[in-house]
Amino acid sequence: MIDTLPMTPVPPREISPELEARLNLARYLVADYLHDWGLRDPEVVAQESRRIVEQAELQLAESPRSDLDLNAIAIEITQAEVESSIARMAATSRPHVRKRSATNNSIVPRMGRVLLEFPDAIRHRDRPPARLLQVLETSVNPIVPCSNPCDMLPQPRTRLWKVLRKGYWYRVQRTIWKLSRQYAGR
Amino acid sequence: MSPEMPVAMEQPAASQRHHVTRWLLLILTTLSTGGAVWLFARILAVGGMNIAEYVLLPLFAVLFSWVAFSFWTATYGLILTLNRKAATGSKTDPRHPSADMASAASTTSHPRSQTAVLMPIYNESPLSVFAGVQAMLHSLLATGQEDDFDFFVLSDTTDPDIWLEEERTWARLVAEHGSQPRVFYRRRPRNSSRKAGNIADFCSRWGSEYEYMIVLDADSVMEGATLVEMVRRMDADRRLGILQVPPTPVNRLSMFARLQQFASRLYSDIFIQGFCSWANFDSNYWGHNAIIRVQSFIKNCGLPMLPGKAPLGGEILSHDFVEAALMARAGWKVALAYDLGGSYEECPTTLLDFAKRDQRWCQGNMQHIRLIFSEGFRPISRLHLTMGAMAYLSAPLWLAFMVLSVIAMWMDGPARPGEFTWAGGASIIFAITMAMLLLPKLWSALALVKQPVRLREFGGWDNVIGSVVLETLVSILVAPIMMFFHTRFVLTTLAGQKVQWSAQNRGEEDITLGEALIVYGPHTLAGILTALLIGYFSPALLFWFSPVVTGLIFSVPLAMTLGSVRLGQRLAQQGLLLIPEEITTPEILRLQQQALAQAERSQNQLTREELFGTVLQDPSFHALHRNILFATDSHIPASQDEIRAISELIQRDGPNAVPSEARRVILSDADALKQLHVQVRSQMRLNRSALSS
Repeated sequence: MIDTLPMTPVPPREISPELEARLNLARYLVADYLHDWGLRDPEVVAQESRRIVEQAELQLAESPRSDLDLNAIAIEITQAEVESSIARMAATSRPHVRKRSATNNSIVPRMGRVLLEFPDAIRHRDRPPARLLQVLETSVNPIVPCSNPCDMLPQPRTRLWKVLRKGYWYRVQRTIWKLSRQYAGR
Repeated sequence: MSPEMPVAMEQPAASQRHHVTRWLLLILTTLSTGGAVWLFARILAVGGMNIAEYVLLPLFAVLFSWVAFSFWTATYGLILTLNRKAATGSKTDPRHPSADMASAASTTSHPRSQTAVLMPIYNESPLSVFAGVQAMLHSLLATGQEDDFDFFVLSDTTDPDIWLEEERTWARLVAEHGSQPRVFYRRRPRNSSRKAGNIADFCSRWGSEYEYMIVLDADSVMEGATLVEMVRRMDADRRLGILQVPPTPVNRLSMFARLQQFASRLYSDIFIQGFCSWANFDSNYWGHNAIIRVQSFIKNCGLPMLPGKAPLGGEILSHDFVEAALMARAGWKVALAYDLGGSYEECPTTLLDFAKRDQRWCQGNMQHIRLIFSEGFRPISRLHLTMGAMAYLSAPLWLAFMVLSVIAMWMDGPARPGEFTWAGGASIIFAITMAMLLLPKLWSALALVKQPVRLREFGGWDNVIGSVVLETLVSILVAPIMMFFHTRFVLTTLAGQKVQWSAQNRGEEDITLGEALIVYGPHTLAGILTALLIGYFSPALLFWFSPVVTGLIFSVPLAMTLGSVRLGQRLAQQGLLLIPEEITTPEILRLQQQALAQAERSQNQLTREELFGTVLQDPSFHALHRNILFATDSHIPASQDEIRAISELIQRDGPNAVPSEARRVILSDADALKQLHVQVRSQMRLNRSALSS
């Protein structure tokens, strides 16, 4: 959780040069990812990438699967955290939208700009400052309104005029046949 | 009065007026047809009638009655125009039935009903579509009544790259635009029942939230003031189910498109006035640029399936006429607001695009033949359906008429001296028919005598006369080509061949010689053969057939000339085929052009094909796409095998190597997309970092 991050320094541990290179690469990838989202503050980016990679490392150690890759896990965590942060901020800025929508039915099309203006925005996703809320309120757009389903049933099948239906002429034919037989019987 | 319970009751004066007009037109059409048939029968009876002539006579009666009805409608329209008191260029006519609605509405300063503006799209250029939306937003903002409108871009797009471009363009629009009116975007994962299904999907999801919906086409734009006025009129008349505003074709540059624009702008005025005089509140719906009462539409306009298989059975393809007929059947008024301006559309730019569009419409209109003879529809609705079908059926009928004429003359043999000959009689019939076809064009020009402002808008008499002459000549040459196209479409439809409903080409591209030869080669051959056959068997007829064979023989150069943008622009410089919108650009079209230019400028260097790679790589674009999938319930899981194969392909050859169908599969599955996003992000950066180290 970005906003519950302990800011006290973690004591250094002994790691091999290969592991150090792997961790650095993962941090680089996370930092690059955050940068692409619009996070530009080097301090925030460095702290976040370090924290996320540590989390990924833990997840990798605990996982019984052998095919997992540290970089992929780190990216996955970053993506999930950033997206959920944005969704929660969007929902906080427009509570009426949140109430009516069961899904994540909104986008922040200029999130890059918002993050540029508020580099530590994702730290405060649950309690965004008033200025950020103001910006978000005008930036958040619903994708579709809340649906209120009602059926649009097709009209009954169209029936041709009686004289154009096969059945009508079949009945006429039968009636004529019946009458002619009656007439012949007399 | 409850809007769910319309009462079929009208003001007595208005009702009487249009009933009188209907009878008058019927009598005039019958009398003129009777006279022409009598004359034709006299010609045929010379020397006794042969079998071909017995078939010719009823065929002629049907075709002539059609031409006569159209002629008298235009003539009545001319009379109305000349009698109009407000002889100005403005489109407001105080005598139109909807003027009552308008005056009633004017007491209401503000439309109170919530209205959805729908833009159904299918593989269209997203930049053009959203430029139109943006222009309408700005125009609506200027009215100050934007809070009552929501825009819905309803995508049925199947091309994955266009789909991605739509999402990006929509996101850019909502980012730049304020919060009202809201612009929503929804894409259906399966485009069942095409446009009608798209609208029905909107109705069943969000219809209950809106009083009205204004249905547009991908290339439609409407002034904000027109949108507001449409809502006002609906508010003022609670029995009005559909109000159609005639769209004016604009924005195109090729010679063919400019011919259509000019013809529509100048000639349609008297036709529409004549049409309104008899249709009144039994009018028609053209599928776009119309406002519809949503609840009554939901209740009464769910399209039935036609018995039998496609193309004549199954799903109804041309939905608009049928929806108008269903609405009228349920007792709702369907009106045409010809006095309202600010409604625009775009037309095909080449003869071939025009024919392709006609092919789709032809199949749809052929399906209507069954409905003409079905229970429950109002007589005028049957007439609208018949007119739609006859627009295409008349082509094979005219062709049959011409072929039978040659056969009949050949069977009759040479005329005896002093006898009332075929050629003499035919010339009279030909002259009458041509006059009835061409006089409405002259009527339209004549109407300008009483419309000095409108005349100025067209650039003055010199421009109008030159343009009418040019348009008439070209339309005479094009008519036989379209007759051949329509005949083919009707025959293939009746033979059971289905039409692929592809997206309309809305670009401005010249037709190449190769394309022209492939498409119009058969027309040229048919023209040469016809000329040779007639010349050999009945040389006297060659003169009468010359307009037909000339158009066919020269169809290749004609199609290339008509498709030329350069020629279209040169004619504009000469003041020919000008329409008022080209002389003074309306605000909405100016806004649209601005928006399009701005969108093209702000579009970065990415091509449409590269967007798939971008959605895999760019986190915000990726999140946008997945959010849209979830919000619109469009997530469709792909099979693990497919995902694995595509993943390997991306790893091996990069995202640009993924074929279109596979792109669609991945873009529809939010989880698979996420998996590939993570894969690409890790590996592409890994490659980059390895390279840099």
